[in-house]
Amino acid sequence: MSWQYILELIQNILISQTGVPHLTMGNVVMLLIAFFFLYLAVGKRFEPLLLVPIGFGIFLVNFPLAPIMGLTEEGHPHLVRYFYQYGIETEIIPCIIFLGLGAMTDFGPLIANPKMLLIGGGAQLGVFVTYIGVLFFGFTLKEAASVGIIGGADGPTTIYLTAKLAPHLLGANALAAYSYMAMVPLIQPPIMRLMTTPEQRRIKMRQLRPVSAREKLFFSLTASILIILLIPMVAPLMGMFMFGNFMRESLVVKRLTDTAQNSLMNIVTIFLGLSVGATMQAEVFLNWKPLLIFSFGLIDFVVCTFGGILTVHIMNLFLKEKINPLIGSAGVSAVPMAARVSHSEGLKADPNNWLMMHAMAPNLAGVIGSAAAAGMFIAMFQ
Amino acid sequence: MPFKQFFTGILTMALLVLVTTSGWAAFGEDIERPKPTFVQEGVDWIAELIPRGKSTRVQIRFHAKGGILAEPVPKIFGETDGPKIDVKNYRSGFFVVNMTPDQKGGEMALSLSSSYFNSATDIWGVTERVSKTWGTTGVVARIVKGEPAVLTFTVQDGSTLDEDGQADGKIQVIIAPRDHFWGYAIGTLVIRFFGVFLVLGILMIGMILSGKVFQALEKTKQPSAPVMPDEPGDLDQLADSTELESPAPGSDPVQGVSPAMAAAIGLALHLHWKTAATPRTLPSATPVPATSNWSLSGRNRLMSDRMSAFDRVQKK
Repeated sequence: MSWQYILELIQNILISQTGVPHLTMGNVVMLLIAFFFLYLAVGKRFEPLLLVPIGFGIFLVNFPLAPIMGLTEEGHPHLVRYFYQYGIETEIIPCIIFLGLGAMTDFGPLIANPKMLLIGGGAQLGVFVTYIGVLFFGFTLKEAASVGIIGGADGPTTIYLTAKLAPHLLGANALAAYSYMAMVPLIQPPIMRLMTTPEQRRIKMRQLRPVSAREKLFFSLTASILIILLIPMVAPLMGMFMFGNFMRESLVVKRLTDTAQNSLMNIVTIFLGLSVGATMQAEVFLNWKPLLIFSFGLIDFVVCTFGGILTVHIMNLFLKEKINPLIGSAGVSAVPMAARVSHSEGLKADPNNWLMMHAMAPNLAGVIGSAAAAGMFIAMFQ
Repeated sequence: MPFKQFFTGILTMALLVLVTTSGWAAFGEDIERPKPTFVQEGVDWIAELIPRGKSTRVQIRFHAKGGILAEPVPKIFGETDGPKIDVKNYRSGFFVVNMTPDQKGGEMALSLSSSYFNSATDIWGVTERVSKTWGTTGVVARIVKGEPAVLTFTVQDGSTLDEDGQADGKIQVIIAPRDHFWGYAIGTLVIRFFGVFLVLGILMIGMILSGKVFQALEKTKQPSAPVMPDEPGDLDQLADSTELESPAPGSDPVQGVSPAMAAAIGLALHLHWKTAATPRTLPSATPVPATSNWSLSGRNRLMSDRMSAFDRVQKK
């Protein structure tokens, strides 16, 4: 065995079996992006439950030669690709997350004040404005719809719709949706102050009426019937959401409700985040589209907030009992962050004005509204 | 604040993309180009394809009168040979159709039928060969409800539509069904936005009605609910005369109650509901003025506890 042979052997190992020579500038940039989102999650506590797995997914998938998101020589998926294939391509995970969300949601504030549903509709304005906006940039109709839904501020809905219509944009859309959802306390207050007068911010709303357990139980059935009859395409999302809520309100399957709220939700969140993060490989992610998606995502959130507050102003023209326009911004469905923002802005205007439960109503309406908008988009492409 | 800079950065980049033509060009690729497959059925050819902006396959039937129709082929325009047309308007793609008329210089009628077509669909082809201008082929549409729409146009051997321009017994036309993209995009946008309102509006009406039914049912279950007094002074009298039950919705039972008393009631309710099977919405009627730290702390605790049901940050 000569020295030359040993050197060749080492050279071969270094070139073909280590990732170092294959590391590109794109990989390095993506690793930096992964660090940025991990910092946001860990350092700034921005949606850590989602951004930690997403960030780590980006981190893992951008090492050259790493068998994470590709296919084996026999055509079998690598580890995370399995998660993606069976969890997201099949649309199972977003629906399971909706099941968990349903099991966690108390619709009491919305049932007590159904008018708030209209705010949830108004707050979808940004979804449709963004849809048109990105079309001007050469996005296809399907891509535009998937980018537009970011403003609905509902992560699982965004992932569900994007996986269905434009899977190649999944990473960017999910990342934009969750990042901006976490930044709701930064994005919304200036718009809220701009669109309201100090007097309007001080409007006190009447306490909500009590809602019986029986009424809550029936709500999940009546809402399912009406929504699924009108928009059948939203049945997987809304069906699971209302199923989770029905379990919660029935009070007879506490163990199932508890599993849906906690263990199941946590398990699928891990696979969801990791899979979404792993779609962001340098060669796919590093182009103008993600940048545009982030820009339009921000505009989307702004217009949705604007739409929600505007809807309250319009409603106040016709209502005897005025609604505090600050709760209009909660029509984007970042639950409960957007409602908390409304509440805290209300407290700034009047320390005795407790808007939290009032804001929860449009917040929940926003969840239904964004799912309805997603259903509309899916139906459009059938 | 660093995030202000972050937002400013993103918006600036977006603006840069907007003003640079390279940004526009970057997204011009036609990633949704239809890839039709053709099958023959009798003398007709049927194209099966997924049009732009659709997830499901559609069929387009080609039928010719006055000659023989050969298998159509999809047409892909190169950057240099293509007419200046917006491909988005031609959602089912472009087709090259070869036909042999019964006689040289003869006329043929070509029909395209599909359930995918609608009253706004037209068929466009070359109307001026030198300048590669595209225009309508002069379609006659037959739209019967429940049946595929049929679009028919005539082409003469050697006419402008015929690619070789010669009456040689062979007709080749390059055509495409056309819908106005922006008209469709904006039209469907407006309809769907109001559709969301409509759905939520119907749900709202359903909820208002069912709410009234449930409230009526609750009332019949509690016939002895006392009428609450308008004046705070009447409360003592009421407390002496009757046992206080849950207040009627919209009434004002706590006006004039001291903040400390209100907080105590709040805490009692909080403890009661914390042990109950499901959280309920507070049945009190008006907000209690919070003037002491004690009452503020109680309310904060109460609100935080109720919020846990919605807390995605902790549970999602």
